[in-house]
Amino acid sequence: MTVRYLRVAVASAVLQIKGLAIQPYIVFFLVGHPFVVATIGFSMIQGRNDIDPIFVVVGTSLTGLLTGFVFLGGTQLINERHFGTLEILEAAPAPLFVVITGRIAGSLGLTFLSGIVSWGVCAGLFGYSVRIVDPLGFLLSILLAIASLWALGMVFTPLFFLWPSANQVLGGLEYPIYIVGGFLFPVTLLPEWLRLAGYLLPPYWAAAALHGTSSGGLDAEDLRLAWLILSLAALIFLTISVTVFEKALWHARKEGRIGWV
Amino acid sequence: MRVFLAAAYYSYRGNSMAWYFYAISLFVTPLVQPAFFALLGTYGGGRPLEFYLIGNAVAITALGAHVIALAMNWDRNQGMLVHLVASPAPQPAVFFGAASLRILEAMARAALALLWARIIFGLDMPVLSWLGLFGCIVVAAVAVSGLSLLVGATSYLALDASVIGNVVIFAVLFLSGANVPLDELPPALQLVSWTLPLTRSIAAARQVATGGDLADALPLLAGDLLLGAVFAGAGLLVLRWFETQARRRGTLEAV
Repeated sequence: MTVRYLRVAVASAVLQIKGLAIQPYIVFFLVGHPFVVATIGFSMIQGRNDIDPIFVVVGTSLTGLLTGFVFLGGTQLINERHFGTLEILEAAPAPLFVVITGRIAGSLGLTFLSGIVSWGVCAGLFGYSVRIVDPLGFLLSILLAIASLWALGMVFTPLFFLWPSANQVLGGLEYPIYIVGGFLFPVTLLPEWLRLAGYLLPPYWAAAALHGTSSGGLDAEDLRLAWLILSLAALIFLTISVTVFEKALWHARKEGRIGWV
Repeated sequence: MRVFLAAAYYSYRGNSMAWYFYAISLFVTPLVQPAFFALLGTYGGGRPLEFYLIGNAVAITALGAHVIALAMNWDRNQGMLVHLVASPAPQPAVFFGAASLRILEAMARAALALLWARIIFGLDMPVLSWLGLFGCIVVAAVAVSGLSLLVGATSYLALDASVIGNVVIFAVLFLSGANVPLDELPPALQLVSWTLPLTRSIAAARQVATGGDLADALPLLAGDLLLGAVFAGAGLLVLRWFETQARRRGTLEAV
């Protein structure tokens, strides 16, 4: 059973990559958007010796990663719905949850483009040399960030069954998450109550771990705390998503909304 | 005029968003996008907070006015472009009509962005400056819609013109001086900046916001209006030419 599901997830991931790679609009958002944010960010910090360029590289890459994990899976669902294939997909023997798991995981390969673009802008356009202070810690932070953001994306996915406008609403959440996540500036600039909102979301801890291991400035105890929270968030959000997904799907079937456009 | 009004009404009515999602989008977007760039500028840039708040509030109009290009691309994807071309209704009236309420909405969003800047960030200006800023917003929206028509015309030939539109919009956001001061851009990019609509409107808005006389900012605003008119004229010419090409190549219905 597990191997069969794995095969479905892998096939779904490959299809996702192929489907996204031929859509100029998606490629633009994975390449063009990080390019502009990185260019604006590096233009702003020119002449500031107190800001490590790797901070902007990591922050910009996180914006792409968040778009990929949290929003692209759902966007593909919207496309399935428009093409009229979502109902067929749901009726197929393969569990839809596994198919969507593969789809969101498949976004990973393309979302790494945003990191490459950001790095390219940093080194190529602005001539900065960047160095990661703790490469092993950075690698572990990437893995945990991916796991927690993927789980968060799975929590959002059921919304796409219930509301045709969900992609527009979730698209509107991007900037708020960039802000409370501290992707490109420290959250100390925000009022205390807004920082609390960030502490509840994995993107903040992903940013803290990745910034901390890439440019330093985070002590070992805080780093372990970030890793622990990212691990817990991945587990909790995955548990929530399994339950909510089934309920949302049942609700959508009952009301005949799966193919609703 | 009847075609214009009908296109405006049906285009706006075709909005598929639930009203509560729409309200959230209308009120929240003007807060979060300028706030993000303003905080980024405060952290990494060398200008005061007001510089980024005002620049990004005016820049919001670009996103709304960009809807002309998106609407034309949408018409093509839905298979309606061929019917629009075949219909006797004048196309500029249809396209500008379809975008007109969105452009008004973009102005409202920009005004809301300023209101949020006042409430959240304490942006403080004399009453006359606020009025002058609203004038700058109107000019910016009109000027960018001219460029948007030119971009939208590519829908007749390009399969995914919305990408071209997004590239142009992001270029406008980067080069208009909303976030990066023009004097910090390389000289070649500064030249490009002054050929874009919005650059002058943002500069005028900053002049007015710092207590400058609106009359002093009028040449800048007139420049943006002229630029918008040039882009709109070019858009209409290109639209006609692309339409001929699309008919000849049979690409009008390709999606």
